Amino acid sequence: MIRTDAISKTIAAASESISILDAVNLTIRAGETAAITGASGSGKSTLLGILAGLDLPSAGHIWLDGRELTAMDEDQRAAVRSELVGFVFQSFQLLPALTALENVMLPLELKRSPAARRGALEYLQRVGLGHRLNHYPRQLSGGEQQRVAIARAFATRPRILFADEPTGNLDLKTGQHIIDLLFELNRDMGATLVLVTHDQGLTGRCAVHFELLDGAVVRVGAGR
Amino acid sequence: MSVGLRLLYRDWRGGDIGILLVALALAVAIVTGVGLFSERLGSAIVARSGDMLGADLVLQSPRPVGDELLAPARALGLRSAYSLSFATMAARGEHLQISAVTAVDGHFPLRGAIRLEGDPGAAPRRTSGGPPRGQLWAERRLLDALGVEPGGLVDVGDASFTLAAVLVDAPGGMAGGLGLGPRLIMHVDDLPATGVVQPGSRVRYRYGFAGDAAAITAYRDRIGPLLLPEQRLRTPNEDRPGLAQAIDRAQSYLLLGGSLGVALAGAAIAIAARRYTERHIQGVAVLKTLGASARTITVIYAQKFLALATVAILLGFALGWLIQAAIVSVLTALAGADLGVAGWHPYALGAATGLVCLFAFALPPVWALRGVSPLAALRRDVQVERLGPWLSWSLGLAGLFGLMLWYSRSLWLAGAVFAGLLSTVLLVAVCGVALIRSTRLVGAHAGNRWLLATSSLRRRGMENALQIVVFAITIMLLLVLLVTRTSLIAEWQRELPEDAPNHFLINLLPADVPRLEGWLDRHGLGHGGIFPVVRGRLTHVDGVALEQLARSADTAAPDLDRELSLTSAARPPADNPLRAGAWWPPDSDARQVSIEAQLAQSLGVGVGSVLRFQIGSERFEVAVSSIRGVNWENMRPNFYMIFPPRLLQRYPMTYMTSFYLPPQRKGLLSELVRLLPAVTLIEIDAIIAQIRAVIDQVSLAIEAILWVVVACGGLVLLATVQAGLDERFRESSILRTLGAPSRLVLGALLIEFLLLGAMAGLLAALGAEATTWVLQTQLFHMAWRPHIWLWVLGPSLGAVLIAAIGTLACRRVVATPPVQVLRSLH
Repeated sequence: MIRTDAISKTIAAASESISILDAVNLTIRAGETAAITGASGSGKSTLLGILAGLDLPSAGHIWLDGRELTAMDEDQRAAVRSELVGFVFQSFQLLPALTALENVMLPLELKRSPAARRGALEYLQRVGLGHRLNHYPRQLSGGEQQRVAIARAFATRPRILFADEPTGNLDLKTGQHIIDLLFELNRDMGATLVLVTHDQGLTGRCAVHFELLDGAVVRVGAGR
Repeated sequence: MSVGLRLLYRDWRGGDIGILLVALALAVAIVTGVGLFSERLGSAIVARSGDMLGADLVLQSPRPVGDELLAPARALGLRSAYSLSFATMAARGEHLQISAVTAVDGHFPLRGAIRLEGDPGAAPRRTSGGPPRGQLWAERRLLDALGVEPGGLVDVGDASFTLAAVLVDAPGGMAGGLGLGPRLIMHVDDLPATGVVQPGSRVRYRYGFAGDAAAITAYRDRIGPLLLPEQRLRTPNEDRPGLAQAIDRAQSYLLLGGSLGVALAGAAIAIAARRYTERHIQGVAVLKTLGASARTITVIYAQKFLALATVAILLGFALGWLIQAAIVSVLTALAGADLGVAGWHPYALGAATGLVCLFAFALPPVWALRGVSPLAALRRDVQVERLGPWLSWSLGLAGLFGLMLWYSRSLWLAGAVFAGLLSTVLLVAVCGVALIRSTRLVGAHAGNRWLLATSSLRRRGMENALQIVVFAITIMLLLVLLVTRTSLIAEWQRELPEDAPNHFLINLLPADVPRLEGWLDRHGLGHGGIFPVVRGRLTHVDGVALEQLARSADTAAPDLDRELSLTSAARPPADNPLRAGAWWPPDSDARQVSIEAQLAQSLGVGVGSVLRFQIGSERFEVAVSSIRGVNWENMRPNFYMIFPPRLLQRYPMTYMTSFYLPPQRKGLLSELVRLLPAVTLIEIDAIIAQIRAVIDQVSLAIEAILWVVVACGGLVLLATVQAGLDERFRESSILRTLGAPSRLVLGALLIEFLLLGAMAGLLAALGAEATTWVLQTQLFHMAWRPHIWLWVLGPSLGAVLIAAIGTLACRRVVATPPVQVLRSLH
């Protein structure tokens, strides 16, 4: 499903170039759950952004579902994201002016889905927020906001779900519930799940585990 | 509903676009309101101009014309009507009122109609002829001044007439407005009985003609070469462009004035759009992660902003209509209640203003959203490519200049106003920054609140300098208007000596002079000299025709294309010191003239120059023998040209003089008018009162627009405060977390805005005082007199306005619990 070939990422900072990723090769099969770990600042989010087509590597190639993202412009990558990708962010990234229901409806409206409201309703109920439809993000707790974000990510039935430290802003107990929900929905949907986390315990729930070390990815092995 | 419209509605709910909407609406409202009023006024005046002339062609002359000019009209089969206009006193018992009299024959008017008041509540009735003999029709103002109702008697000169109807308007002149008194129409055959019109009287003779276009043209061609310089032909088509041009010019000036409000609205839009963009970067990044392309983002935001513009423009139309209704209600007495209907042009201008403001001020910051990387949803350190601030503001300024050019239709006028505005902004900004920096001295020695307030002021230096500029300029304009309306004219009046003449008498006949002198003696009243007056024209200077002089680049000849009041004197008048040359002996009949100094300079005339004059059909040349200074403000008769006594003796002449009458002796005037029925008495205090009333009304109308401009200034403040609200929230929550009580934070906020407003008001007072200095010394030629109340009102008004708006806008900063703030900001 996801394959990279020697992707590197270098950024220019002040008077020097900094290498974030160095010739990273990895493959994640369709339906697999993959965890990407590494120390803080190791480039996990950078790698995630490249894998999801949000950014381009400085060198190398990447294929998503057989389509080479590195050969596409941003609009073409947006089209791929619209078709294939769902996202869960560490900081939830809900639009503050929209209610929970409207936030979940948004990706469906972008795809001009005629059943946007019904689809959103379904997923909000699945994440246990059927009674908070008309609440704004500021009226929801962190855990509730992340559940809305998960509902939004799954509402379009993506084939690949990327999650960037989904429990990073949550307490342990809430975070555990979120992870359980994430894995449960993903199992039902059969999507490929790519999870960036610094939680080593989470890697045990994933089929494969990649660790970022000095800009290079090391496949630690099957997570479970 | 499209995604863009749904998101717009949600933006509105979230409070993101309130300022954008209101600012756009106000910009549209100012322009639409001014445009509607001007167009309604213009269409009413211009549409009536044909009727107002009362004929297809009018021959106007200061003296009766000979048959050589009238016979061709009869030969061509044209219908004709005869009327004459002059100013004289109308009286009823002790009540006197100078009036603009039109005496008409039985054929008047040839075109249009005279409108008279109908029954109460009914529309005016039209009549195709003038009043019958023995009757008068007069404007309501005359009835009010004389305390008379229809059916009552009114004296004009030696005769009494029945005031039969109330005049609304009539051809042959403008109804209402300025001019020497209310209009009065009578039958021309009644004139001899009044004794008012005598040889030499200042009268305008009108001969109207009507017929088919070919005959009119033929008549015009035939008599054109026979006309004397002071005689004029007028047609509706020639009058109409002139009127239309005057209305156009007035509209341009008003719109240029309103463009200050548009500029402020634009600034508010730019600031609000910048904040809107910042708040939407993350959202756009998220949309892109959800699969939205740059094109989709463009379409969404285009839909949003076009919908916003549509709502704002419609709202602006409604507000604009209210503004013009307010102006109309204030100016009804001047403009008349019967205004025409406006067309679509003001609305088009307003809509275009809204769209230009949107594109020039909102688009530059919002455009950056197109290029937001989806990576920004993952990482906050992702840079968003924005148009540089200089480019953004340049686009805004270019848009504003384009609008000003459109409003004024004059490159130099738009350029001058634009440059003036920019210079003023820069100057006030520099002063504002200096004042802000000086608060360091205040805060250093004051308590916690002051310390917090002044450091906050300095920390937001550029935004606060902008607020000072905005409010200093708008408050300054309000103060200048207030000074003009309340004090300026009163101060000018107070400058005059207590016994300065306050009454003028003109059209005195030679036989009236000894009677007047006797009357003045009897009542112990002095006079400013009794001067003979002969009407004549200056035609050549040193052999060069006046028209040629006017076109010459070397001279700046004033408008002398009219009859002048020429006089003679044995000695130079008291207030006329000789600057050059010498006066003639007392009984001289030398062909000489003494000329006023400023006129001499503008004509390029010196002692020895030869001037040619025409009086009636006679022409003569005289040499300039002296140049005099003239104090035009002495309230005495003053003259450009004075001749030796015997040179003008053989021409028909009237006399004029001025005298002082204490207010408590005003009752003597009715006795004077009965003694001298042909005289025209001008009460200066009544004229000044009329001018003050006009200034009051016009300034009220301008004030209505200015308050809308102030509202735009308030929007700029709101936009700036809102843009910095997150930072204020953060500061306040940290302070309160560290133990600062809410009242300390609120107190600091209040002091900050009070100081800001006071500084703006101080600069406004300075600007207003400087403007008043120019008006006093250059326009009114008065000694400068400071206005202490400006220095109190300006800072107070600024402090109250800014403190009220700013503190209200920031109240959530104090009311929201710190933990909620910190959580939401995180």
